[in-house]
Amino acid sequence: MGQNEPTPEEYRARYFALKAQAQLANASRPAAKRLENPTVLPPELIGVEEIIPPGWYWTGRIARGQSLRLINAEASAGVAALFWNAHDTSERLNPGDTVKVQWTARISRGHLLLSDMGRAIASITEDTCGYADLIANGTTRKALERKYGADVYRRNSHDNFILAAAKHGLSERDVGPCISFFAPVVTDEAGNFFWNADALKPGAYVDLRAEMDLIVALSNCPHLLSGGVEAKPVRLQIWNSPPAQLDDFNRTATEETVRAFENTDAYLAGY
Amino acid sequence: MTLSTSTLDPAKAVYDQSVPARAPWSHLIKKGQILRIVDAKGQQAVDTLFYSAEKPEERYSAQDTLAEQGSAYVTTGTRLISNAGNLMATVIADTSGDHDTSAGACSCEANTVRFGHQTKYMHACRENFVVALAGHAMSKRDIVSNINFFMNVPVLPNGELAIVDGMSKLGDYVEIRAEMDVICAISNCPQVNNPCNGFNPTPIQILIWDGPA
Ligand SMILES: [Zn+2]
Repeated sequence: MGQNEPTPEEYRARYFALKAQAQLANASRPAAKRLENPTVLPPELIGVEEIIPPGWYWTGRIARGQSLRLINAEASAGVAALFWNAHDTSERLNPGDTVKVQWTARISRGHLLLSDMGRAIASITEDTCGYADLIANGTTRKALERKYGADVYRRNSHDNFILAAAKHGLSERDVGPCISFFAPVVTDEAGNFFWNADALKPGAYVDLRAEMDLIVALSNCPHLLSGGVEAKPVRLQIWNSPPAQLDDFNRTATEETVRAFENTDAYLAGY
Repeated sequence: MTLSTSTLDPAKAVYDQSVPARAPWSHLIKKGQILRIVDAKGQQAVDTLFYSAEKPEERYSAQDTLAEQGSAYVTTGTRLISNAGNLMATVIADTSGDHDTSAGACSCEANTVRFGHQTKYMHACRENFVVALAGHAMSKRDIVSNINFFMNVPVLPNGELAIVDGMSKLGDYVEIRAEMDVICAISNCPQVNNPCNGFNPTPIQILIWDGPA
């Protein structure tokens, strides 16, 4: 152990100090000062607008500073999403880091999506649903056959993501774990999952601001834990949002989010 | 958690190897073979990934595994599901308890975010995975959410998720039966910034048995 290296006791003390800070920050996020994104976006701000039909996927690019809005008008049971750095697709959403770094599995407004490179790749600037799942989704043809029978072919997120990836020259190797918006997965004390259907209200929406140029894939298939409901159409809008300022809420929420943005800033500066 | 022990005799293992603290490891496990990972000194996180040996695009999926199981931890009876929805392996013994598969592996880059930029040059699991996977013609692209054997990460009803002190004791083990030919890649976790290794990384022991003939 080097002379200046912390002792195990010092490492432990720092870890629990960070945890206490993060718990305070997570508890205060819902009430914190917010970006006032327009409830209804003026048409002049909207670059792309589409409706993703039930079972389908959408893929495209979102430039840094633009936002993706997903509007769940009919309370569809989850929209799964993947994100890649548009300039180096080996960098992508990392669900493990996203939950671990922010000390919570309940990722919502005020939280970041983190890549495997320790960078903030997107900020959740609004989320009127309040639930995204990063732990348990995954619909595959095989899983749906086991659950609902093999008599009908059901569209599923794994196939959708392979298709979306293919349209950017990517393959199944690039289809990693996802985030599911509008997916109220809750756990009991023993760690059993429950689908909190009451939390899904028609008209809920999520705003995600890209913190670097991104390739996005969205899959409108019901979450595997949602209990066999049919998907409903989901509207997406890509809109010109204000870019993150230095005092931005998502940037300054905790020590960790500040450092994630510092890593993104260094990358964008060319380092 | 569902604790259970094994009756396999270490003298009959076809493979028995110590993996030093902080080191990577990988090996082919044939269908029907049984892999045992021993936490030789206790409280040591073992980051583990599985890839189909025949078609490595098919690999372990934490999210599919947990969604099909309907609960958050890996223990005896957990069926490890691939990204294509197929059964890759089954946990058949576990003397320790609930193992995490949600928090991913540590990396130099994530360490800078969690613990400060001064932690960048500390060895990390994803460094180990990149090196281990390079031996199987794979790269960083192929790293997905792994299992953290002997790592304790409760996911609480309020959503809180944090690594807490490991529960594994000296000599605790898990056993996994391969249901297809798999490449298993392991990082014996070097992390000292959180409690996953009791702030002191230690060696593990890996054994493999041929399945019942
Ligand atoms: Zn690690």
